[in-house]
Amino acid sequence: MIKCNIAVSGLNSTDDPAPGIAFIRSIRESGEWEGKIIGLAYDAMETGIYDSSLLDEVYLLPYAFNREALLQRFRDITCSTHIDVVVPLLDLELLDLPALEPSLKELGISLLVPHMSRIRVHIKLRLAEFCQQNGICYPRQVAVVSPDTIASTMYELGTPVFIKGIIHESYLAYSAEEVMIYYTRIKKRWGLPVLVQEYIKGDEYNTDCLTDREGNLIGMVGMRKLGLTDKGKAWSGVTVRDEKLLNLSKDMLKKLDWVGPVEFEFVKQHDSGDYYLLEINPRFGTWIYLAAKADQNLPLAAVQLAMGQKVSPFQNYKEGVIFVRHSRDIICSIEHLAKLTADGELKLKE
Amino acid sequence: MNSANKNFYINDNGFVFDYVAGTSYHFNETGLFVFKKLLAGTTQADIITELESTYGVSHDIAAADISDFRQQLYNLELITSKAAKPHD
Repeated sequence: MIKCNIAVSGLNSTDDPAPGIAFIRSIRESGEWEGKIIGLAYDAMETGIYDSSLLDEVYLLPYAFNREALLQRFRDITCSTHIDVVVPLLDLELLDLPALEPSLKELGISLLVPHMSRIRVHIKLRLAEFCQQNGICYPRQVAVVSPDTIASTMYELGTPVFIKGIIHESYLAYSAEEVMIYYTRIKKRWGLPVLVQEYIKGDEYNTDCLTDREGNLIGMVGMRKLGLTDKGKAWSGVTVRDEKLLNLSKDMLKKLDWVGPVEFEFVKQHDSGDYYLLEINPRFGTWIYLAAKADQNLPLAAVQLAMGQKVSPFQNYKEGVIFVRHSRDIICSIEHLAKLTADGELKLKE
Repeated sequence: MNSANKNFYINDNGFVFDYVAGTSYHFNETGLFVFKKLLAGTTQADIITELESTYGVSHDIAAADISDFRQQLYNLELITSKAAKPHD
């Protein structure tokens, strides 16, 4: 039985969900953990933060990613509660938290994150370079900084195309007009450049992986997406065992010299059967609960590794396990919203 | 009742799931019959004989249908090239 308090971010379950809720369910249902689950949120209306069946406490973090402000906020939080492990599950957090690891350690908080230089590979501009250097198939892409180049880009890449922010968010666009709409939206949220990427026709497959602090593989589960939202997010999927997919992921982990959780997103091209890398997410995928239910509780293992415990690698997982996501309404008092917005913290279990 | 094969989930209602690709199919009764025989390594000649006796079809029709079916299974990557060969 692992006894520790775990702070988890990524608690939104909208049509662009984050992995926090799935992570927490994997921990709570393991039967091998005791402690508190502490939610870390950036907005008082993040959808998962009022679920008292999942969370014990919630704390708001500063919205702008300022390392000093973030560290000070953790100092404040640890005056109210005790945190043993922080599990960052938002892409942007992974650009700041690793640098704070020594300071967080002084507060008694452990992280399991790779070196900053490795995390930056996931930024889509650098991802193309990584793939070229390592012989990994990757869709052609163009970094667009002006709307004037959209038409010529689409002529070069064909249609449809994916249009993506360099950190997050992507849309499939079928015309220059659609690309222009998404370009404006993404530029406003994530800045420039905006990436326009070739569409590879095929089925989408992801792997969720975990390595220890020495980069040794602890676990990996493969999944094929069955249903997608209009934002391309998996809304249902099934575990699969394709050795080509798993071996490619293992190879990438070695080349990245990765530490901690990571999700690889691929598309398997219909004609060639080759896997094209779409994204590297430096945290677990939103479907990580499926991995736990397929007999690889990677969230629990990640917490153990963060606490400095030794974890034996998983040997296998169940294929043919399906997840289908659905939403449910959480009912809570207006007092919860008032408390959280006024004080920046909420104890759900008081 | 489910059939165990390391690459497929198969049930008697004709549902077949490919554990590698994550794709699923629905076979009719005859298709399921032939697919299971192919997975078990039964020769085409023996499958034809069984089809003739079980379903009362002629040899020529059975042979042609199995050849066509094997090609479809091969195109879908459900069987390997060896199992797809019409003559064994």
